[in-house]
Amino acid sequence: MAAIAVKIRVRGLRKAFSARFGRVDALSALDLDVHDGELCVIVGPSGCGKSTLLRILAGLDDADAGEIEVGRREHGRPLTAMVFQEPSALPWMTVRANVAYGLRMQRRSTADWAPIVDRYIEKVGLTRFARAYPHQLSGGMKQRVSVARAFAADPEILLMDEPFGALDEQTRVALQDELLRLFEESGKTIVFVTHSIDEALTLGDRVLVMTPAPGRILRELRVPFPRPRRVIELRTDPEYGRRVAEIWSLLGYGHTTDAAAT
Amino acid sequence: MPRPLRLLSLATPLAFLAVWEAAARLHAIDVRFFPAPSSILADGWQTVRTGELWANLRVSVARILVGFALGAIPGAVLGILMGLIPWVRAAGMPLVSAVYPIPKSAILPLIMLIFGIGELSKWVFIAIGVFFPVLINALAGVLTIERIYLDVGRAYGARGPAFLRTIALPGALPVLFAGIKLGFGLALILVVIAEIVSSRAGIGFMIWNAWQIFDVEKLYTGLIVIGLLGYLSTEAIDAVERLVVPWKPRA
Repeated sequence: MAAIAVKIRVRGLRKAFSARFGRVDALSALDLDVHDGELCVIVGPSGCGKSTLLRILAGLDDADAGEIEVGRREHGRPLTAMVFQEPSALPWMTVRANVAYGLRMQRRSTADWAPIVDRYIEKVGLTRFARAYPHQLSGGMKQRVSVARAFAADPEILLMDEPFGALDEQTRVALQDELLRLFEESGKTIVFVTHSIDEALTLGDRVLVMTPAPGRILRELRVPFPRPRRVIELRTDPEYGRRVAEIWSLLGYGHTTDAAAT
Repeated sequence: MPRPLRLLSLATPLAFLAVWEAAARLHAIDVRFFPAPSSILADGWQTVRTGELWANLRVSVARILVGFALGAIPGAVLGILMGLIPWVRAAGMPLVSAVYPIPKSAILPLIMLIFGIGELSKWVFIAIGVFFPVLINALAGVLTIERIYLDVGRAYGARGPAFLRTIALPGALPVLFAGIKLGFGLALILVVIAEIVSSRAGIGFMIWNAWQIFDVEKLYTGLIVIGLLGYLSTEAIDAVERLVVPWKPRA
């Protein structure tokens, strides 16, 4: 196998929160490598610290200890852009201004950002709603705004914190398909956090299974499905079912007999 | 509102005026205290024609606008800074909590002592009244911005003035506007108080002067004018709010 360029290298990451009954370790000595251009999914139970990891990578929280190295391709590009689980389109901006937000904060001129923004608005199917405000949109559309905003910002790494977790099943599948398309066209590096094993296998090149808190990476699984992928086609693949069972067993459910092989 | 209800809302004040007019003409009420609406209107028209009303109104409106600006702008700026920066909040909050509950009318003598009895003291008096509700609402506006929007700003690299412009200010605006409305209402009250206490012009002066010379009709004219001023200013602020806060869902 050819040498894989490492995009993010995390070593010995620790983070604890103080709670009423004492300190709670969210992450303990977490090591993580994310490869350039891959969609790396981190899956784990609620409260395992996967959101904390993303917030630290995004610069929203500080780690207590450990190192994070990010391989930059160009200067001037932002390091990260984040898609949050809860609706995060800014209510006081139109769809277009929201999608442009990351680029505007990088002090790019309008002439510079306008075509990029319009392209991503089109890719997520919101052209007709470009001048609408978020309160006029459905939950799925708001989340499309957040996804478009993150891609338009053109960061080195895209961070996604259960972005489709609060959506209904049909909208979720539609957005997963859109994300697959955007990712496969763009060649970006994405770190995607979810508690859904289905989602992890559908989207990821690699799935990292985390332990319950304090979080560490328990196991790495390579996802064999070729790209381009489509959500519904994948689900009918017998291999898909086997992989789902494998991850379940890693999380401590079901048989472990044929799951150990990776 | 359904049409019958709207008609009812229009009918009650008209009916009230009609009963008042009839009662006055039949001398069922003491017209020295409650002159007929028609005679108030006729007298009011006189004050318009002589220019007396306009001269007083102009003075009051100028005082309100200058005082309001002097109070609202620092109030909004300080409130937002207190909302954003914990140490500014910690430093400022005790002073605000201590001074805010003092009735503003009680401060007027001190203000006249310091700033004299000219325009300056009126401006300062109104400004102090406006300052606190605007500050407190700007502060509350920033503090009630949902955490996720602060995270979005930080995650996309908004710092300093850019954060203020794209997150803190727009996020605080809906609550800030509640403070602006409260502040403007207070400005109306305070201008009348200041003009009753010491002034040779203004709507407050006109009302007080009418009482001194027992010109009851003019007294009512003053009340109507100050009421109209309040109504129109509320409408104007609402219009500005619709323009500046277009994202706020409206019933």
